Amino acid sequence: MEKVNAIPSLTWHRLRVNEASEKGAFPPVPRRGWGAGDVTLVKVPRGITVDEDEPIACEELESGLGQYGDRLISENANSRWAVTVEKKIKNPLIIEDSVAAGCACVTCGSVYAVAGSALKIIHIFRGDEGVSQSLTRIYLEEGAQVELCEIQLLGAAVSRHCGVAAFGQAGSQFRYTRMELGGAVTVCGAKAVLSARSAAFDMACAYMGTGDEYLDFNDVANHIGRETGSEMHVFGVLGGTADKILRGTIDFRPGAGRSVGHESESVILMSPGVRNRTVPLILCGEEEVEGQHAASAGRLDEDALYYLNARGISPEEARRLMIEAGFRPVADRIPDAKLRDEVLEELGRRIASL
Amino acid sequence: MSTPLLKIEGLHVSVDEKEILHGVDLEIGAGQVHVLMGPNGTGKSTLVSAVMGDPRFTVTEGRIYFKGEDVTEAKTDERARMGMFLSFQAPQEIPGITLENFIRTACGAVSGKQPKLFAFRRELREQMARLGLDESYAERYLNVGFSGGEKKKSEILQLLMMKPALALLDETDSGLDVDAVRTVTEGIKAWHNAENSLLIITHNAKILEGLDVDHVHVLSKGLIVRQGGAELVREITEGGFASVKEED
Ligand SMILES: Nc1ncnc2c1ncn2[C@@H]1O[C@H](COP(=O)(O)OP(=O)(O)OP(=O)(O)O)[C@@H](O)[C@H]1O
Ligand SMILES: [Mg+2]
Repeated sequence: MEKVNAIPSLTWHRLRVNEASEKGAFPPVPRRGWGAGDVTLVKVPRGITVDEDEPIACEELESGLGQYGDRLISENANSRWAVTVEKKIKNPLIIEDSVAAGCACVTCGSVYAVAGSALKIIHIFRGDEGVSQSLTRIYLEEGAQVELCEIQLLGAAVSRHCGVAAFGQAGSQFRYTRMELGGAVTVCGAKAVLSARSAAFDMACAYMGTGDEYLDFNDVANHIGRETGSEMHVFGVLGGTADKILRGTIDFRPGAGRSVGHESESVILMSPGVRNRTVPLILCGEEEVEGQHAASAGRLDEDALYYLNARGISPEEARRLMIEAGFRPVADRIPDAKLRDEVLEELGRRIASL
Repeated sequence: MSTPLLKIEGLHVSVDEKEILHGVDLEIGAGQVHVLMGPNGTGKSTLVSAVMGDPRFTVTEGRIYFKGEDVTEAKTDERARMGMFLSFQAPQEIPGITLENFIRTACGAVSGKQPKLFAFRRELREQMARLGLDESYAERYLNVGFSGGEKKKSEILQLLMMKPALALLDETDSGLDVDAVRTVTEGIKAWHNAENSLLIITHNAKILEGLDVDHVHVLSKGLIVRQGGAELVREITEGGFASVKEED
């Protein structure tokens, strides 16, 4: 029952990859709770409603972390936010979580997107020490479009757990961007349920693991409706003795005919000491589906590095550029130019110290 | 006589333990245009790769001097910063780095200071227009999805922006349609002056039209077998390599 980031099927039993290891366990909740949290709704665009309570439809959703993790976060949250969106909103809602030594920010958020509405959300996580946990649950009615962009800029001493749950009705689109640049322990799980015809899930994730960091990802696309689509693409760079596991599941349920799901991961390994595991899983409960998976892991492309050198760019700079290049398509999805520049700058700093 | 811009002395080059070049001598003076011809697989690309310092090629004997300095052991990026430029026969595709960003970084690397954005953009646009590359390509990832000809134009665009002292063009004309070859030649002419030099590898005389060729070198089986003036280009394109080798 205390499993975190568990894969939906126990195929890889012997490899011990079915769920997060002890390194990815939740830190114990202090007897008196987490204390005060520091979450700010930095920018609230006009036209959305900030709610007092979480909609019941959202409460019932499960994230990739699983029931146990979801409950730990939702029951012990020290900050909460909930919004309802009823029309198409252009400017993004920007939320910022901050942690510091001895402080935790445990945030439970929810979005209810009414039929035909659209909303972009940027959620930033900052701070050098402490505990950062978040659970974001999103309900999309017919044709609703929600874009969630989570940017994690935490320091190397933060324990981080992040769950995302989305439920999409017919024709809805959930676009999810995740950038994980820091954290001693990073455990993230996103799950999208494509409940009816033509619902779509589009995820792009980029991560960086250095030192002896532990990174654990569990992402799931549940295809229930016909002609549903999922794209889950991940880029990562690992250095030092970082230990990473990524579980990516495309689950075609009976009735999900003519659905399409693609997943991929490309990892750059900067040191021989890293541990890199990828567990792709495509479950076919339906005949007429297309599921594809691709993975690559290795050092930086020597030919590309040489090409950059031939243009006067030093080997160190070329290495930095090549890593940045992997992050770029993910960073380009951040719907705010100022934040995007800040992220790229921070990224440059972190790559330099890889 | 002033120091030649590039001087190659008795160069032996191996790849995977196999010797490809068996002692090549070549001198290019400032402002000169040289042409390197020769049958497929004789080592033309190997020669320019060794001059550029491609780590896959090992110089086992001989020296390379650039601007009077011995660069035989210098790293590729150092040679580039000294003013050497190689237009690749098969340019790399690099997803995630836009053409504009790449060229700006490269210009910054060779000049020692990052070019001012506004002036840089204006010049980039001008040069792109000159080469018939649509403006939108500046924001595309480097060579990704470019056609064969567009990749070659992207190489020449880099040449025009980086303004090197020596350009080594490895079959820049192959894959270009007739009009594109003319456009590229025009671009090269606009950059070429009394100080900077060219070494052009080609199987075709078209790219040389309008350029004053000073010297032609014919490479065969890893050795320069014939040297001469511009007239050699015609002999070869009309009579093939057999017609020129015998005279050696
Ligand atoms: N990286 C490499 N590994 C192994 N052999 C190589 C490599 N590069 C070149 N060679 C070999 O060296 C020889 C010369 O090749 P090179 O590319 O220099 O010829 P070229 O004169 O440029 O020919 P082309 O006109 O076809 O471009 C060939 O036999 C080729 O197979
Ligand atoms: Mg060649």
